[in-house]
Amino acid sequence: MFLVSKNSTVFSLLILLCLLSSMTSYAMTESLQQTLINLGDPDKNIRQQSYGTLMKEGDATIIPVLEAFISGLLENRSGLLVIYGPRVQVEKGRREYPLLDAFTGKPVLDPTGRPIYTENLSSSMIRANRTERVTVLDLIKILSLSHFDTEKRIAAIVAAGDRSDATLAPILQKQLQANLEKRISDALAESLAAIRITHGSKSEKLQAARFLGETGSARGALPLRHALANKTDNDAEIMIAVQDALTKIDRYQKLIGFIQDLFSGLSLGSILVLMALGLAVIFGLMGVINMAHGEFMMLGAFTAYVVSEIFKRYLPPGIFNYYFLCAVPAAFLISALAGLFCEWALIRHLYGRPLETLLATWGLSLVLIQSVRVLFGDTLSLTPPEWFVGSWEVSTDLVFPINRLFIIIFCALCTLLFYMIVQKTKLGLLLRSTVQDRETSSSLGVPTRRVDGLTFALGTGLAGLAGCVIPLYDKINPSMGQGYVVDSFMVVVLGGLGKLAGVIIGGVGLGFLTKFIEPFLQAVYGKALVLGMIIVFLQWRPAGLFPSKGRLVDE
Amino acid sequence: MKNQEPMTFDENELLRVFRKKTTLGVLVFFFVVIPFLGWFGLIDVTNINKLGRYLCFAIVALGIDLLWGYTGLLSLCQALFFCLGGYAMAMHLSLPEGGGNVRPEYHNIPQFFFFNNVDTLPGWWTHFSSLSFALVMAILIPTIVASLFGFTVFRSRVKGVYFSIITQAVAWGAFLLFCRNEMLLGGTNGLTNFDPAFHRDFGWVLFFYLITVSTLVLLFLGAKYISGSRLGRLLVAVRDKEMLLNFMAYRPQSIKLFAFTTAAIFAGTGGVLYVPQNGIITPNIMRVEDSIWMIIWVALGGRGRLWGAMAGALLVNYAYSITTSDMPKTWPFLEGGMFMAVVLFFPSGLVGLWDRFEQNVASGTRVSGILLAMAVGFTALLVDKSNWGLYVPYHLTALIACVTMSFLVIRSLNPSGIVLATITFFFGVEALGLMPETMRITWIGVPLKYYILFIILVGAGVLSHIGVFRQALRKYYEPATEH
Amino acid sequence: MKKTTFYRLNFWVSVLALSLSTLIFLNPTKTWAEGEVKVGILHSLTGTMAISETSLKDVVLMAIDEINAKGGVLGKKVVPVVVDPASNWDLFAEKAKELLLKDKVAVVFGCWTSVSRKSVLPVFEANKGLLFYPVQYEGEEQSPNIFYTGATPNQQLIPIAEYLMSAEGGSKKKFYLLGTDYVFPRTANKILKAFLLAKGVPEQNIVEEYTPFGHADYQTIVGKIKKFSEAGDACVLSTINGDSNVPFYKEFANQKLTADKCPIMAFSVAEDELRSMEAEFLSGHLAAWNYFQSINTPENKKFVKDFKDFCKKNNLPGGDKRVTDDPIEAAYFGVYVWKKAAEKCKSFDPAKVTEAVLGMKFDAPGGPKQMDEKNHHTYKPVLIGEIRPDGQFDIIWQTKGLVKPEAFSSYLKK
Repeated sequence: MFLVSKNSTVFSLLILLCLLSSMTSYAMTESLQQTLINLGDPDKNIRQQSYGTLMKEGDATIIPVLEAFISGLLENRSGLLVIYGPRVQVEKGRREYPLLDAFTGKPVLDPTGRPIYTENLSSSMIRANRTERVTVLDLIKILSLSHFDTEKRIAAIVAAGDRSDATLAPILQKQLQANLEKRISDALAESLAAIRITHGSKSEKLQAARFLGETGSARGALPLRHALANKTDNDAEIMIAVQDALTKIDRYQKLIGFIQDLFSGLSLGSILVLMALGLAVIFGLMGVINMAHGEFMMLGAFTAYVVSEIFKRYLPPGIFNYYFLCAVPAAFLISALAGLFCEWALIRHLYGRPLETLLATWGLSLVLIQSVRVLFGDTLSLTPPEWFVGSWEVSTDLVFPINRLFIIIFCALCTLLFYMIVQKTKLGLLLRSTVQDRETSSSLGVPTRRVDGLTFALGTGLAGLAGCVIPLYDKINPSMGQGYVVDSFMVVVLGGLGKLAGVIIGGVGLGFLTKFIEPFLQAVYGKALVLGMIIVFLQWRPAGLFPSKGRLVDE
Repeated sequence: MKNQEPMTFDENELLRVFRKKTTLGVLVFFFVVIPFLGWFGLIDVTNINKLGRYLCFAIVALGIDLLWGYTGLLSLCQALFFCLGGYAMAMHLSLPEGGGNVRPEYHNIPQFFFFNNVDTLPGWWTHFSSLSFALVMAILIPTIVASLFGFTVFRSRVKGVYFSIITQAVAWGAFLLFCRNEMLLGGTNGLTNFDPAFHRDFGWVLFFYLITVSTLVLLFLGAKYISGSRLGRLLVAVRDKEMLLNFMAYRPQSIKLFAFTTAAIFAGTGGVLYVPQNGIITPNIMRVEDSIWMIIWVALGGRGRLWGAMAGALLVNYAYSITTSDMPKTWPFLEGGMFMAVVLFFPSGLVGLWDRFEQNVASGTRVSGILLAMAVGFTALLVDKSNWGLYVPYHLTALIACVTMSFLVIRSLNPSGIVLATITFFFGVEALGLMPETMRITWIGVPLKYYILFIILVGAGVLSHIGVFRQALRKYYEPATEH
Repeated sequence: MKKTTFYRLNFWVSVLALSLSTLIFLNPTKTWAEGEVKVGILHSLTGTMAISETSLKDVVLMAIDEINAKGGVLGKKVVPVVVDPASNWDLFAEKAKELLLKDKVAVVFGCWTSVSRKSVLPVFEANKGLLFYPVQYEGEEQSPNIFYTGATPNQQLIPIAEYLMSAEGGSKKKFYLLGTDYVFPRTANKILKAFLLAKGVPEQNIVEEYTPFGHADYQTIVGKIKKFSEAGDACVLSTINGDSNVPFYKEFANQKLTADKCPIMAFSVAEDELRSMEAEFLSGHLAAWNYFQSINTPENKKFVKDFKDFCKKNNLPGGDKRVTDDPIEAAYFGVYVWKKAAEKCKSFDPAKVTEAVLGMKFDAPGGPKQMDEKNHHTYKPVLIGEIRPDGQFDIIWQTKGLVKPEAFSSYLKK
């Protein structure tokens, strides 16, 4: 009994800490408090009135309340206005809403002094209807111009520019003069220019046009186009300036479009490389057509899922993100062990009969998929660590999603690791010797049987690593591996068997090709065209980019 | 990719007679027994229809065996050729001239055009209103595609696994294209709304069934002729020692091209016959997975033997069909396990089992017992199925059948024979829809019949491996190896 | 010595074989069938469609359990025959035949994709069977042997397009029609396009794009949407099917597109699909259905609880975390419609049951509904839900009363 209560105190403290770090507390005037309470009044007139008051008197402190109000997370608990905060892990596997005092942002405490949590939303929530939400959203937008959260503030400033709201220009101007963070002042300047190009004086317009042209953002192009279409208001000089700016923007946009395609290609390519690495070992070096390769990848993904569930249930929520660090080695290990077992039970009887390995591994994949389906079912979701959510804005309008960036880096690391293993370790040495000449190695005392097993395990382990990162952008379900197998075989064949460089160039090249064709043709035709090009390419180089002397060459 | 030569042993008189009788028996069964039983309503139309469809797969398997078993080329796009033939036929069947069910609301052309904003039949579709044109196209298109693709691929000496993977790419690319609605081939929904009589009315079903069986027999004879001729030996030579063939001034490319095109024609023919019996064709059976299934048929039947490929096609398809009904949740374990087990324990497939059986026959083992047992069991089930049960007391028949069966089977103690007979009996009974209801009682999700099957198979396995039995067998039933 | 062992074994083997084969031939079926009526369940449990169809199988089994617990139908116990067509369209037809002819089922509940329905349709028509089809589909079909308990296009698409163009829905002017390439999205988009053009939306403001099944790389498409929605007056009408939604929404969020700026109105994303996504970053996007789990009525709450309990009790994957959604509800009330009709006409004969179903009024978990008098479809309300952070929907808009099903859309030119 004692233990339990102690335990839960520790938990609450932890959660409190988390909360305090994420929520900022604030103080609010009495009159505003009453107005906010009135928002939930059943009388329509009183509600209208309070909107008016808020419009006039509101400040940034009421934003959290308003946001809770429009998303239906606000409740009037007998006079006390409470917000249902972002859900947190309270006990094993239970995620609950903490109750926060709407006026201070601090957790609501029960008589014993512990924060209150509820599992479900109550039925007496105050919620704006759709039309009211439009009003409240507008209000939030204005108030947010001076939001204490920088991200939200920038978003509000950007939105103000998008709407070309002339009434906001003075506020923006005033803020611009204050000494602010560069990101904020950039956004302010751009929004101001966007407003001025429509509403400003001639000199302001000229200046704004020039400024927008320099920035090069696609967002800035919209008011410029409006200005261009709106001939009556503008004279020739302005038109020329606008035209100039638009050309500049177009040029810039084309450039970043190209970079974006390059990035997409690279990220697709690195996924292909990641999948193909393992296959290159198994297929390229050992001559086993492993149709179950995708399923070993799937095993990796489900290992990550299990690890994340363990973290969710048994460990404090603060360290949830770190599950990924455990999942990566775990996925490698589980897939490698599964691979080792399969090699021992199945594959080792089939060396030298590649087409029969196709058959057996096909059966293996059926069994693996169904086992996972029976155990876990079809629909589940894997929460990616928070680090990988969001994106990185490199330059204006050039956005790299962080998960994709991570996959590229991860792939590079895996490739490096693989290279090191093959080139620098003893296993690598034995592996290479076995591949080059099995009989001689064997007679020199290389345990070729064991090397075979370890090689296969290495290959499936690499697939497991791929499975660990693929859920960052894709679904996770028992048949997820099937979609990747054909592609990875293509990469290996394109690259040529047995050379690492082949896999990398093959994978990345395929990624680039797909991504550069896709914008012109739709996804399907792009894919078909790429397949066609591979066939044509193999006409020209039937053994791939880097043909090598592997076991298969003799065939 | 070396393949062991089909086992050969002295063909003695006994064996020759036995083979002749078996062939005759199989022919009689397919051409006479089944139509007759269907005529008397003892076999449902559905089951004849199903058999007809699976025999189309057997035609495809024949082609694959020529290509893979004999020439050693593993193509993973046979399903594509199957579909090319099938689509050509389906285009004819979905037009009013071919009995297609079209409606005036949709301008009297197949309904899917309506979803693609097409009001009049496109020019290239109109030709397909003639059956002969469609048939010619159904064969011509796979031929052209295969020979063009084969020509380029073989010319640049793509071989072995590379060949498999390129064909895989072709299959996948074609699948993606056929799924597009802009192709005006029905997109993912494929072509349907044929005359339902084709797979409903006994007359039509029997007609298509008989055509399929006859085609199969003809193509089998053709393939047998090829494989027995000098060309056949060249095919095997390409498989085993392509280099040597080069030195002897042969052109392996053209031999490969021949095998590839022939296989494509076989697949196309299978598709043509499949479509009217199936009632729908979709790009889904064009996927790489389906091509792999086709390879599995042949592998399970035993590559390098024509009849093995056909038997494999029937066996795998019936197994797939039966298990997905009986064990909707656990069938992948059974199927997957079966593939792995076959590869590990019976690398030569059904053919290997048969060869062992034939060895026994050649040495004088009597097999009439097993055949008789099967016949008795079969008759008893037929009696159960028919209304004769009213006149013949069912339990009496059943009891007699049981006693005779077990006695005869045990008498002819011959493991490979028992296994073969059990498989044939099991799938035969399932195929004809004669399995008694009792067998569907399940225990942990698996019906009773699988336990029985398992016990018999394992029993036979044990039988052939226990030392005592081996000795006993050698003494009593195995060939006298003295000479 | 050896010989005796051999004969002894021979004896035991014969006893074993004898007893086994006696089992084969003892055929008690004829005495079983009296107090039972068989129904078929034809949903893929393996392959690509398993992800969607498994839940439907579960709910139909639950309905049957409930019915049996209350004494069955017409005093007979309902026995489900579950088969697995394995997402293989040819196998669907084969299984349908088997269910009708071999198992002699009174009715079949099944199918999800259009192509599977097209594949079994001739079978049901030829063998006079009866199928309840629980999923929204493209229309243009009205088989006398099928009852469609899902929505027709006019029960989902048109009200939604109207909503999005209204002030309440954000006065959207540009529409990105994105779908998986098969017949439902094609038709849906065709209807939507015709409707939007009729409402005066210029052609260049409508973009249509299709991706193959299982497409996982949405980088380029989301990039296009981003450009398209720059001005903030655009929305995506998504008919993306199944698990392709996961990468699509993930990419959408990662490229910094939000529901405020460019909402995705999905026609194929329901609560069950949301289980496989982290709903937090989907919050604010919309979906249009005829039922949501969050419908706040006692009947629905009971239904949801029953389903969770059923899944937990039977150890189905997901347990009490399972959710209900539109197709699940449609599959569930389908069973009850059949029961009610069979009791009304006091027969299991498909022809009589069909007669009884037409025009029938009944209570479903989501509220009272009605079958059409003629066209075999169902009167349903249309609802718009906004995705909540917990993977449920807030119902933000709904039609007053039920919408009449139109099997043949007036927006498709004939």
